[in-house]
Amino acid sequence: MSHSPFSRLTPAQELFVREWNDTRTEYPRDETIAGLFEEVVRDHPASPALVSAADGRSLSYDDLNRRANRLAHHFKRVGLGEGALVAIQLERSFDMIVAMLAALKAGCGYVPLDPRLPLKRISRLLEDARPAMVVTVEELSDALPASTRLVCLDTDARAITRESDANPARAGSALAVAHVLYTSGSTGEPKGVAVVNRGVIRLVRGTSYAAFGAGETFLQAAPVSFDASTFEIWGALLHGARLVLLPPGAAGLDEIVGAVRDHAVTTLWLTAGLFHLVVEERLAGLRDLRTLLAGGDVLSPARVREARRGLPECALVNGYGPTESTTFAACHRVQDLPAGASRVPIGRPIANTRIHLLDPDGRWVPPGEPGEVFIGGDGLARGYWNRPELTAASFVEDPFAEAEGGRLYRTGDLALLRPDGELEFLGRRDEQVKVHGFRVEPGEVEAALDAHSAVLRSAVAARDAASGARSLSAWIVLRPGAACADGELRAFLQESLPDYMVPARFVRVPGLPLTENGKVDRRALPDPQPEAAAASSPPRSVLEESVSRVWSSVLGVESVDCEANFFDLGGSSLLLIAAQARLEASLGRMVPIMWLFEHPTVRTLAAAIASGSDGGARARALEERLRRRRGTAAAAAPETNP
Amino acid sequence: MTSRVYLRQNALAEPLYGRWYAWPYLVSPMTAPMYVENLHVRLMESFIENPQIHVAALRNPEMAGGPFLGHEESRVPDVARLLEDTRRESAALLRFAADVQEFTRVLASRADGCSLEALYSQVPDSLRGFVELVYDVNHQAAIRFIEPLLYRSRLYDEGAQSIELSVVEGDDRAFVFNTPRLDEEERLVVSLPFRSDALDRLFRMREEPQDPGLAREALGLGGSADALFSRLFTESAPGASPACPPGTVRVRYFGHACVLVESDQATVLTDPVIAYEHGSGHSRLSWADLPARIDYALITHAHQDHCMLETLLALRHKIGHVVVPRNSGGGLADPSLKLVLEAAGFRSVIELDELGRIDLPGGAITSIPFFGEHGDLAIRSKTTYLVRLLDRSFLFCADSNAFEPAVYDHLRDLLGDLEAVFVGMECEGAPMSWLYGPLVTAPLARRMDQSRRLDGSDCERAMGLVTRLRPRAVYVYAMGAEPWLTYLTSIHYTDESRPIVESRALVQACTALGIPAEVLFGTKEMVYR
Repeated sequence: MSHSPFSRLTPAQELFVREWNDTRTEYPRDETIAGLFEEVVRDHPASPALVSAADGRSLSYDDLNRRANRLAHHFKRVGLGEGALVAIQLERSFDMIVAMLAALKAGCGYVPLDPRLPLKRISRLLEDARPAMVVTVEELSDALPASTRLVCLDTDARAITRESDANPARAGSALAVAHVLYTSGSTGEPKGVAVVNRGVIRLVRGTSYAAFGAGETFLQAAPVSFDASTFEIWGALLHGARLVLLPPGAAGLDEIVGAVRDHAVTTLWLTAGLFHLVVEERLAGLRDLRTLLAGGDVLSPARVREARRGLPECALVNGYGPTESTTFAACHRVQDLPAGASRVPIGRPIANTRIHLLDPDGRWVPPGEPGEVFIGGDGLARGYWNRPELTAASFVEDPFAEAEGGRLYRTGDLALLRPDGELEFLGRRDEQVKVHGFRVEPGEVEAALDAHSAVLRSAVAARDAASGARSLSAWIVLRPGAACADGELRAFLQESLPDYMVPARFVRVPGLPLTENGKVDRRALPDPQPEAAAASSPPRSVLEESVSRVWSSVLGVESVDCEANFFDLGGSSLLLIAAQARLEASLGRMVPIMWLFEHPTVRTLAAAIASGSDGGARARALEERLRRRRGTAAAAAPETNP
Repeated sequence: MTSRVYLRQNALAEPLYGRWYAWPYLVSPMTAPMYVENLHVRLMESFIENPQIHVAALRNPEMAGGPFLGHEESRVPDVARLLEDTRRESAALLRFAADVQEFTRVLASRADGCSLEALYSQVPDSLRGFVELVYDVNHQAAIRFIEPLLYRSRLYDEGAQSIELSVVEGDDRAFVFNTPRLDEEERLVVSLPFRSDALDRLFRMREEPQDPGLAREALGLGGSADALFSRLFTESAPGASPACPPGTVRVRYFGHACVLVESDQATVLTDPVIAYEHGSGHSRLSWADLPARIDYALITHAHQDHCMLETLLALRHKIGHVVVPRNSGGGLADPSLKLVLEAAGFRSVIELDELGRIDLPGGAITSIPFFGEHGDLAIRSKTTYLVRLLDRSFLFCADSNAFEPAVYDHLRDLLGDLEAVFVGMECEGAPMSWLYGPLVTAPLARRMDQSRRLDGSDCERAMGLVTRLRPRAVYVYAMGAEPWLTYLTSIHYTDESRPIVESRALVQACTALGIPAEVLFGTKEMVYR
């Protein structure tokens, strides 16, 4: 770039931007997560570190540290060297946190593996990440590829408990990889973002977008494979605060709100979709929160206003940021949203983070004009794991850096800077979409669809349903003479993709509309036809009538076929949670979320509710099965940029 | 050295493929690429990335057969160099393996029950002309490899075959399959293909003394190897083995699944694996205890400890015919043993179909179905053998798992009166990935892997066979229990090991039925007059 990156700004604007980006604060930038955690343990040995929301059990900082130390020593004994990667395939549990800490103490990074992922997906992630070991338990290890090297916390327990519980020698460094989180890749391959220790520390230390300290209580609700969990876990554990762990598996609004109430949670993160749902259905339950952060997708100004009204004492923060800059890059503390405001701002760069809005020539755009978001500062990931070309394409030289070697992450997001210094998110530069907060590259879903023998070509895009809920749709051109039912396509995709990437609707088209330069014109794809209004199986009882009304309302359709599967009608796990909340309100009785997963048609669900005793052993068996089958939107907090 | 000398009883000649211990699947050009890519390269990469994991694991003897490379951390640079060499020298094989993997995926996604002809245009270059695309009758598409053609392609590289010569000093040879040979000061490697006649000249010297200079010349070794080479020889003649008296059938157990059945008219050796006599350890039968000629060497299946190239090559000069089970032809997991052994220089390899028969003077060899022990893969290259000499019949079941006893109801007439049944009871076999993992083209979950084990019979199953066939005696063999076999089997039994517990139970159960039974270990001789 020969021209100055500020050539489009007036001197006053340039000065404003420079000051706006001067976010440096004192924080332990040269420490490691494990080192800081050990300091916290020294200061708060007896304080509860982890609390199980399921049964109230807790683990003190000292006990947590000793357990992590034993496992870290065991890691060394089995030959795990500093700098290696350890995959963690565990449900949300004390063990899971112990394994993360142990990996970091051993100077390793960790890769969370969701036990619910299908085998093909796990195989691909493991082939890409190539971890030296996978930490798991015997039962979950069944789902891993056969060739995986394991540390089984249960079957190896005797060896592990024999290890020393003293802090191991310091290992790792501020710039060592702390964890690798996988996100959708546009070429059909998922990519791993290698987050460094410093990035995590700058997220939670020496920063002010939320309240941190030993007096706080965080809820761990996000899946650990997504980066909101970075905030939840380390926001608590690097300050001596309590971290309350939701039980693994499906959680409805009642579980979340119940955990907040029962364990006096002060700080809660919710993905946009779930935030909207909580505001609509359970806002009063969050009265005692001190900080509520929401994001991961565009927030509805109406819901934000309601939240402000309903929770006047609670700080409401809109958080923005891709995994590549470690959870949050910018945050906005919502005060009052003007009546006409159509967007909730995403705020200003958080401490030790810089944001630049650039035009295609790499120049700062004047305030009020859209520019692409480039992020710099200490939150930047090392890059994409084992993908130097992809890293070089997305992590570019920082023309604003004072020292050489500075980099900026090119987000692909478009935003504008308001005169008052607040950023507003405008959309994406490319095809990437957010579904229930999860980042999805349509190209990855298309690549998976094209592998089906009946599919000639496909296109995938997110469309908003009448209800306002966004879901993925796939347009497919079938091979001549081929036929394929939606259910078969869905089952096929579920073998290789996480559930949130499986389209809710499939539209068969004779051909895909193309733009002038030959690319698929996603905007010209026909809207999916709403489900046939005349339900072939109408309700037969008052109860079915009630259930069917709730379904229609959450699915945004006039009526539903009582024999049709909720997921085949375009439902998602987030919508299922909404349905549960409304069903309970309309029936005035408890309807466990598991019932909805197990009985996905109006008819079977109504029957289960009528018999009413579908609890106990059967429900637990279901839970077990579902744990393997479907993720839950309750824990859907993949990322923090809209 | 001008005097005539003998090859020592404990002289060792290990067949190598590149730097790796050779076994049938490394000879077949259909399977070798898969093992180079998915076993050798992966192991080397893993060792280079995390050497300590390998070192730490192998400190535990129970881990010896696991996917760990047995070198010290200091050898990382050497392994890295070997990996580089492999990537360069085996580029064609690695390409082939990657293409098989990728094209299998394409085939699965494109084969929709309609004609497969259009897919030939998508066959990668490395596979073109070597594969036919076929459906089974249930419309599952598969690749059929034309394996003999692959032997004529550049994928079959005899230049990668060699023999490493040394002397066995004890029963503690390290597990051979997962560790490549690195450059050492004292290695004596003969760069000859396995089929070379020079090897026969060398091995014949176990019985006939020769001028070692001639052998050295035949092997193409330079004078610098003298010191190492001369250690292989001795001036003392081996002890002579007493001949089998006329009119009798003699059965001698050599360890594992290797049993010699002889009359004065015919000699038959099953699954040859011969122990080395080095002057210490449990007593054993060795090379000198074999007859001058082995008319038939019977191979039950392609596993490394049953189709053992090291022993077979050393016996080639005295083997008349090798008998092998016929394979299914074209399946990736089922290479032809006939092709393997012909490529390894055996002139007469006889393939038997199930129930196929070879007549012997005063008897016959009959192929009897072999069930299981192959992870439920469609592998036909496995058989058990009925050996009849002088009207005495012996059934050698090897690792066949008698989980389907109904087959013996169908076979009872054919088998007739049995003098003895030899039954393998390695009933706690490795998960199938241990052996076949490198061939598997779709992700294999541990759940599947752990359920598809390479298991032989347990007591209950073996009794299903015994009660149906009512032999006069039962011998448990093929347990890999002899201490000199760990380099092949990595087995270390304790009293609590399931195969030991189950085989003891079998002996008890047979005894209760009045059938003498015994767990063979080390050596055993039975003479039938």
